[in-house]
This record gives sequence, structure tokens and C-alpha cells, in this order.
Amino acid sequence: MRRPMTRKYRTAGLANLVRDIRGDSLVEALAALLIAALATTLLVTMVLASTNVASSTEGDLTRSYDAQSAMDQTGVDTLRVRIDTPDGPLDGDIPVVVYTSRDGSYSRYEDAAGEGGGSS
Amino acid sequence: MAIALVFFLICAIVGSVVLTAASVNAKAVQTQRNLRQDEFTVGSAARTIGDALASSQVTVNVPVGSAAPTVDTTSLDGQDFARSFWSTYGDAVLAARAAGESFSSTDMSLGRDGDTPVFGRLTVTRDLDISVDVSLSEDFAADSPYTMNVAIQCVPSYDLSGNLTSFSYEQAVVRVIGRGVDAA
Repeated sequence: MRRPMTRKYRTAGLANLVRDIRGDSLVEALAALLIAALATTLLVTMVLASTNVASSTEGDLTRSYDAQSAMDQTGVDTLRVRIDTPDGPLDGDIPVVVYTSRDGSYSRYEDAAGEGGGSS
Repeated sequence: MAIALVFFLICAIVGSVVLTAASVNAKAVQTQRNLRQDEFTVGSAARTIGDALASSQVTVNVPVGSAAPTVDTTSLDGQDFARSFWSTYGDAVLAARAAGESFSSTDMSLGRDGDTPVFGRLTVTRDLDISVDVSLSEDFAADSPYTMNVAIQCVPSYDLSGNLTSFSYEQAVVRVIGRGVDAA
């Protein structure tokens, strides 16, 4: 003999709930609406924040590439080289030309004499 | 009510995933900037030391008898670092070559004042080829962002008796031999 299902069992699963033709109380409906509104607000807030972060990231990346591709000669410096061997140390200086990006975030240098130059 | 709760859960999960992805992307860009500067730092040091040692012409004084050959650096005028290097280590390099061994540094550092120091490991092989490993890691750790190798090939000249009379160097070749976690 089939036992009559209580409301608790009927609402246990989502499928059963969809098929449930019995209405909810006003309080339940209002609570559901409130939860749905909160969920929507939460999702929209997170998506907007993500959009802002992604936009900012894209700008940073673009500025980074621009900085790398437009490095200007900003002066000369000295590369200090120290070599230690069992036959003694060597302290040498190699003059270098320094290139720096306009925003100062990147810097590189190269031998001022091109090849084999420098002083020690 | 249950549907609303499930909807809330789904919204929270989707929102978290989207927000996390954006945050990870932002962090990746910052990491990329730091790694790029690290590459500039190591690459600049590698190219500079390579250029300073390359294209140098060193003459070897071949003595009569059993005395060891010595280097003559007068041909390195205007190439002061190379001249200093061969004046300091030239005879030791030739001695190591005569013994069939490589000449290696025990410690090496390169860098500008106020810059991140770059560590090196210099080797002159018995064929007089120069190899310099440069890295941001003093012990050349595998997780160092960039480890590069500068290879400078020697072009020796011999007399009719087979004695080395001079040697010069080709252009320096810089290779990346380790990058982050991919480094062997």
C-alpha cells in the first residue's frame, strides 16, 4: 500500500518541487524574491568588479608593451664585473649605455663600445 | 524558496569564478612585468660581457725551449676589459690548456650600482672557447627566472710547427638555458 507523501518529502528534490502544483505562502514567495534579488545583485557586482579589473589589466599590459617598445637612451653607466679564480681576482668596469622606458619601469643596457670596449 | 537558494548558490559560484579569473589575470600581468625586467637585467649583463670578450685578438709568445707560452695583449688596445682579462688570466689559461684542462672561475658577479646583482660562471675550455653562464641566482637554481649562457668561439692560429701563435674570437652567442620552473 502506497504511503501518502508529506510536503517534506515532496519538496526534497528539485524535480518534485517543479512538479509541485501547490503554492507557497506569501512569506515564502517574498523570501524567495529577496534571495533571488540578492543573488542577482551579488552576481552583477562581481561581474562589474571583474570587468573593471580586466579593463585595468588590459591597460597595464598595453602600457607594459608600449614601455618595452619605446626605451630611450638615458645615459651611460658602468657594469662592474668581478671574477674570482684560483689565479686571483679581477675587478673590471665596462662602460655601458643605459636605455630606460619612459615610465621608468624597464631598464636595460649594452656595451658602450659595441664590442670589446670598456675600461678596467 | 529552494529554487531561489539554488539560484543564489549558482550566482555566487559563477561570480566567484569570474572574479578569481580576473584577479589571476591581473596578478599574471604584474608577474610578467617583473619577469621581463629580470630578463632585461640578465640579458644585458650577458650581452655586455659577451661583447667585451668577443672579437679580441690575442697573440701568444711562443718561447724557445721548454718555457711556457705567454700572452701578448698589445693587440687589445681600446678593448680595456678584454685586455685586463687576458693580462690577468692569459698565462693561466694557456697553462690549463697545456694540461688539457679548462680554466674556470670560482665566483663571478656582474651588475650596475643599485641594480639587481647578476651572478656568473666563466669557463675557458681547453679549446680556448669561452662560456659564461649568468643568472640571478647565486647557485644557478633551477627556479631562477632567467639563466643565460654566453658562448664565444675561439679561432686559433698555428705556425708550421703546430704551436699556437694567436687566437681570436667570434661574436658572442647568448642563449637562454633556463626559465622559471621549466629550467632543467
